[in-house]
Amino acid sequence: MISERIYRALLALYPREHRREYGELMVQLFRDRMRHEGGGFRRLVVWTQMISDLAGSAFEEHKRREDMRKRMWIVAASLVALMIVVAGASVVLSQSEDKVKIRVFVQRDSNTFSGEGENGLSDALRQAVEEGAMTRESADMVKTSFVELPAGTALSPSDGEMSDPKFRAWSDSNEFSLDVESRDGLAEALRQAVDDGEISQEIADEILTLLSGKNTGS
Amino acid sequence: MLDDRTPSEMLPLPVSQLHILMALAAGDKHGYGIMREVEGFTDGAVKMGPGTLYGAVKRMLAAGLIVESDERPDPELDDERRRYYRLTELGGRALDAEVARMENLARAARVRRATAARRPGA
Repeated sequence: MISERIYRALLALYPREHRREYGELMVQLFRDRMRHEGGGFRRLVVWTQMISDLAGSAFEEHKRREDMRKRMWIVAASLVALMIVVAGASVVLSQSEDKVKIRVFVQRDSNTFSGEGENGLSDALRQAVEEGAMTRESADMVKTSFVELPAGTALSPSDGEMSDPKFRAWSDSNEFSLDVESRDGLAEALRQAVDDGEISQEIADEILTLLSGKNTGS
Repeated sequence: MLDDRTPSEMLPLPVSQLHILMALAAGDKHGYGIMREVEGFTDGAVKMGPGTLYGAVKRMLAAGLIVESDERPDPELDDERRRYYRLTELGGRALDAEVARMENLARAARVRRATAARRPGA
């Protein structure tokens, strides 16, 4: 009977365990129903009802499957875990953006001028000049010596102000601070801090980047 | 694993389950017998398909509302592959509870209609 074969094939839409348990009974019921209804147009009506019944109930059976629920739970739990990881990573990254701070001190006589961050040196020197504690030429020389000249460049005795400024770098989250008096000294101190495990190489690089020519030149 | 809910906790019953309980209230039946019975007491309005019927049967077995029956009303005339189902005591109480719930609902509906009919301008 072709109808029965088609119906049997359509049972593939049900979950395997449901098909194994009730497949034959469903085919039997289908057969009984077809026999009872006769032929022609009535069979067509039965087929429409069967298709509708099959679509609705197959969907229902899949929806109720325990392993499907488990899979949905696993997917949901994975998504939640992923969101937590992303949120955690965002917080860590946002904290790492400002965890390294650098303050530059320029001391002249009894006055101390300071600036923080990328333009710390320029700010401190500008203040010193504005307060009359330093000439503009001296300030430019200091900036040039710390920013543009290669580290370790020997300076002439007339550039005696090169012992200034002092750098201080610190981070709240890493609980470290460095007090150095020259760029060479800063580089050495950073290297030591990395070796001692006080700060990571990334943070050390970040400090040096903050003191690069472009950042401190403004 | 059997469902440990009380009959009142199962209400309202899905319509397909109510129909099957009603069909089995008159005696043990196999799938096609249930289908014919339902068709009979709904005046032909409900023709349960195999998917709906056995989906409901599976859940009713799990809930303990029905059980498979070993007895065959007429073994000589019957296909032994057929499975017969029987209403359990829990199934009977669930049917009673559902019928009582529907009666209350019908009563409430009648009262509301009567009240509306007495309202001026209705």
